[in-house]
Amino acid sequence: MSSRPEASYAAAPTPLTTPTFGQATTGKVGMWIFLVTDAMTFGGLLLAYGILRAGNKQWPTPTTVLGIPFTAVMTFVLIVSSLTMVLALDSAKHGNAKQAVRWLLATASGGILFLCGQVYEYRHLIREGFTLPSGNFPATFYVITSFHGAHVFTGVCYLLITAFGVSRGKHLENGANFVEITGLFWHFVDLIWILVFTLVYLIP
Amino acid sequence: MSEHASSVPHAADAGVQRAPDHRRDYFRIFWVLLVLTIVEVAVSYTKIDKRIISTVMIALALSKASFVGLYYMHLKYEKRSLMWLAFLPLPLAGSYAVFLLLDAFNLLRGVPVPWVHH
Repeated sequence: MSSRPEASYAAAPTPLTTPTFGQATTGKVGMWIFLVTDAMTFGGLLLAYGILRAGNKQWPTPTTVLGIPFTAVMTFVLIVSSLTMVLALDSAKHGNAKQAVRWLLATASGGILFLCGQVYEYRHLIREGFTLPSGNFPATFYVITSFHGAHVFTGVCYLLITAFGVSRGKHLENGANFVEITGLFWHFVDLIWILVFTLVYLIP
Repeated sequence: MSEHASSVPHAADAGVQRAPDHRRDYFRIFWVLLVLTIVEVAVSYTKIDKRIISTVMIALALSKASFVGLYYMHLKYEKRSLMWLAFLPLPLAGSYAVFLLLDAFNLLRGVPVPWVHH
């Protein structure tokens, strides 16, 4: 067999432009499809929370149980990390690898800080008797927030792997597409938290 | 070498086109998200009717989520088909959620279900 087909594939110009998705790479479209399905999972959990809450007259007002100022600071940390993520992408797109790595590490630090905050919050709530089996509110609260926390943890690992790659001169080609896909996941984590914070913590 | 280097000042220029500058948008959206979050937290401490607060909160949360999706996730700059891929399932899931929640409210108020015969 000739190796010609492989050679012509490797020489194809990037990014490819397709009639359906323009210059969005297959990796980016794939990440979007994953995020939509992941959003459905979060949607299911939030819907379960809403239905259980609507069907229970004794449901406590979340602001009286949960620490809103502390969680607002955690939300602020995630919003800042979203900003540092887009700044990392901007630096990567302009070929500034050093700056991109700094912003990526700042973003990962934001994620780690958020996770530390979540551990502190859980410890405090558990000491108060707000444990997983102690009712529908704590059960749904822990399932939703820990599922989100698992996403933050995954995002931090993803960011560190990307930062390591960029520091070694990788991931800057093709409009820093790899960094952009990492950013999509991280912004999704922030986007979901915006909804969780409102629906689980703030709605009276 | 020097001629080649001057024509390719950045690694990213090896791609098809030069990266557009969105920095100003990024900072603007950050401030919008911050202000909306402060408003949300402030509203949660007011004594306004719960239904009004809930509606305002959900509207603010959806606005914030849209800003993140459109500007930070770059949906605004993508082809429309990618935007549809992300947004089309939302009204379907949203309407499903509304009907299920209405059903839950009816159960709570003891509204009889017409097709259940005791």
